[in-house]
Amino acid sequence: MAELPSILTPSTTPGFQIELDLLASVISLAKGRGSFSIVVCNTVPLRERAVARLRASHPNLRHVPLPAGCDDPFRAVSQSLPVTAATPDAVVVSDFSFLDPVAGPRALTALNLSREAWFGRFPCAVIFFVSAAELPLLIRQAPDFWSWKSHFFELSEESGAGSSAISTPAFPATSADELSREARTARITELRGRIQAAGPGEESRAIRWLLELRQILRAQGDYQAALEASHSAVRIAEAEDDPILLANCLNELSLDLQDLGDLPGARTRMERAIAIDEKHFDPDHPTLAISYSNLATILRGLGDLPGARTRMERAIVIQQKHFDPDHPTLATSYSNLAMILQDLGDLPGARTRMERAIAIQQKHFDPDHPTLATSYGNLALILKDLGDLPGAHTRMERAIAIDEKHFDPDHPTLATRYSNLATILRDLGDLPGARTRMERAIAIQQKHFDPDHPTLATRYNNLAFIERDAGNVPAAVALWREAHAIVFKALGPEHPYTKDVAAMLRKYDPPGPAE
Amino acid sequence: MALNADHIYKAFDPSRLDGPLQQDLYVDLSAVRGDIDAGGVTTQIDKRISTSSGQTCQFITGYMGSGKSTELQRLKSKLADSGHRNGRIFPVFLGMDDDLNPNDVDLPDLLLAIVRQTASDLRGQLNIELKPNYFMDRITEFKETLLTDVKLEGLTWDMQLAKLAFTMKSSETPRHMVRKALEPRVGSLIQAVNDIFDQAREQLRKKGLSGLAILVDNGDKLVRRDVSPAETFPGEHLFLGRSTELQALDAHFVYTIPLALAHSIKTRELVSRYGCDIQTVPLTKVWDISGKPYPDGVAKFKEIVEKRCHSADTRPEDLFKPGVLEEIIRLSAGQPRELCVFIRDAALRNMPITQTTVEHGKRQAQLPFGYWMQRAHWEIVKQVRSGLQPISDDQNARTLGELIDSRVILHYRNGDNWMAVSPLVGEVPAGV
Repeated sequence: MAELPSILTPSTTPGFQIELDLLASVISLAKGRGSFSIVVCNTVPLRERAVARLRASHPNLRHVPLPAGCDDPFRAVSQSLPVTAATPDAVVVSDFSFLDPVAGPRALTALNLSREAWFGRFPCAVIFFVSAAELPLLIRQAPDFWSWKSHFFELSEESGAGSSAISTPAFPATSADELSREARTARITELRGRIQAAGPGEESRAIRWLLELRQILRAQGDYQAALEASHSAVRIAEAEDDPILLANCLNELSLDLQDLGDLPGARTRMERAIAIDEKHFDPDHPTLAISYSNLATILRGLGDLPGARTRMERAIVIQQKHFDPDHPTLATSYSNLAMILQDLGDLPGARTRMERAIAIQQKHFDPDHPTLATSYGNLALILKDLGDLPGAHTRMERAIAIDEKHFDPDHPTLATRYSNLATILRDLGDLPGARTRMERAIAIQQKHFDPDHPTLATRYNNLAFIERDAGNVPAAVALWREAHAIVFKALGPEHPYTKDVAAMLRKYDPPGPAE
Repeated sequence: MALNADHIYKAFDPSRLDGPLQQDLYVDLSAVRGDIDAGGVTTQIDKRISTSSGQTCQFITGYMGSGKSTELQRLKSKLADSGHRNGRIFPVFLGMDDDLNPNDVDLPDLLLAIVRQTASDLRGQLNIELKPNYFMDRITEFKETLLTDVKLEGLTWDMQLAKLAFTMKSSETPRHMVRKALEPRVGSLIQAVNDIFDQAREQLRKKGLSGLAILVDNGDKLVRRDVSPAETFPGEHLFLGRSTELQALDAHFVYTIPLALAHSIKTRELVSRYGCDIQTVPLTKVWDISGKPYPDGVAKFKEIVEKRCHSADTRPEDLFKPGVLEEIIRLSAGQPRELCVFIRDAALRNMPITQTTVEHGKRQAQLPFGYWMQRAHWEIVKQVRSGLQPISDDQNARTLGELIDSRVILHYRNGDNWMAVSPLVGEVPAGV
């Protein structure tokens, strides 16, 4: 059999207008009987343009952008279009959450199960807009749904038939976390080869590969290499006439810089991404909410707590316009705001927001979901600061009970929780209990960190206070010595933390006359 | 003759032919599916049900759109026919995805679905009212286990089960709670199901029917479980892990099963445990192993097109330029659904359909493969294109399974048992 032309040849992509005309025909022909069309389209402006043009010929077209974190597209669309209303000319569905690690698999499963339901409920053309990054997940994880598609379209820029269809994915085509270590290594080699071989005209593809490479490198724990990949993506995107793509790349770069501790650098990139998004999206667009929220996290890290609070509150205002009051996205934002308020010393405000977040999460997740463990743990720390030690104790124990179901006994998350519980127990006066938990935390972290890691110094310092309170001053002094040796080396003698530990040593182990 | 886009679009709708009005469009493909001697999947399964002294448990598999559901519907008609050689058998038809979540099916929920469907079909079709016996107490127990506030008052017992099944289908926690409650008593649950079957047979005999067969469709839609116990192949846990229990059910059973399981390294184990061959609804032979057209198969596919053109008040020679239909049949690779989808999409672009339209449609159909296939997939494609047949082993089982599931690799059983790459898959990328 003769070999067929390469599927990757960009010239196979038909023009935007031709594909739109075909979609319009599908809408006319499918009326009263139903059909599925899958449309790959990578940018929101392009999609909006396409929908506006289709609506011009079919005014009763209904566009349903799914809320962030939606895990049942059919239910969401059904709920937003009343049964009593006339059958629309077409239903356009967009903004799937396939790439969301929690909602994505659920959404794909629900979609796969719902294929016949769409035909029953919507006897018209149903058009699903997905990104190039989402399509592989749809094909592989919702195979029945995919097998029922009637038409497949790619929409690329109007510049026409020669442009690449794969233009502006914000996410990798492969979920890096799903890959085995061997598969990741192989994929990294493959992507690097492709990036190196990419020629003129393949810039947008190269960016897609770089962003996927970045994601896999992060999954490998190689944050430095991931940063290099996102730097390269930004460099290429800067030469392209696609500001939304550039904003995406800047966003990813900012996150990488943040992870590596370069908060000023992260801030600059995030602010630049926001400036671009503010020009291209409505002030209340959900994309801006995400960026404001990311910037708030960076500002919190930089100590600009009022700035962080303003951005997070702005993000919440936007999200409240797009989502139900009980949407999980809002829970995340309330939780983030609570942490900022806690840092600002507004403990009652922090408590209210964290309790609101938990109330929402309890509606969406199983009682033993790890998300709830995180929120219980955070609420416990707020309650501790408020002086409600029994409340803090209960919440922290609950968080630990959940985490112990999900993690290995030596998981670092548990070490943090044991350490936090120990400080609560110490304040409650249960010194033996506090000692046991803190020793357990140290034992776990010694398995994960080098002996001179500053986190261990913090734990030694905390355990030292417990020993001191228990009247065991020599043990406390020994721990402070260990802590001091670590922070002196890691942070230097002038760091406030080093000075604090040194002060404790001076107080409880003053230099003798011989010294 | 004028070509009406609306009529063509409707006529080439690839949905299942399950309405009486659509039976005019049905074309019997069994003669060109490579099972000429056997007389088709339906005949084979029916024969085994009729000749077996005890109950049978049989399997059908095949590609999506190959006609498994159609064959199962035909089997249903055949069993219920008054001329059936062993007397009429009452067929219960259960769509596995109606009551169950194909991502996570286990024996207890399947048993509940079977019982519910049996009671509902007997009432609906023959006015036979089964007594719930064991199940009445269980319903109250499930309701308490599920902690659900669903209102069951005033409903028949099988409707009550249906309501509870819906709760189990849509949410993981209640599903697992019910399983946990039922699992230790699965032996007595099977006895209870068999008690329902006994009641059914007794009532059926009074109405002149000789037996009961449960046809479970859409078992091929099971996906690989990501909950414990994990599987290498979809359906492995249910059909292999639970084979003892499934065989203890006292009625004839026919399940559709996932192709990836039927064509896996587990096939032999499956055949040996159940003592029957797996019936594959084969792809229609429109070409042979060397890639040459197979005239009888091409003629059958032309018959499909003719019937559908007729229903659209047109003729193939008006809809297709010369030589074009043959090329589309080749590209369909023996899959009626692909044939209809391709023609409908091409007609949308241009009528009559020309060679250029086909070339364009071909490129369009190739695009999705490029989005999801990875190096390992392309390597197997390359191997098959070079004439080597892929052999499933522990290393490539999953990748090969994905290629078969997604119809990149097509398995033909036309005399020879061979695999080919779908002609809709493009060129292997450089560097593979």
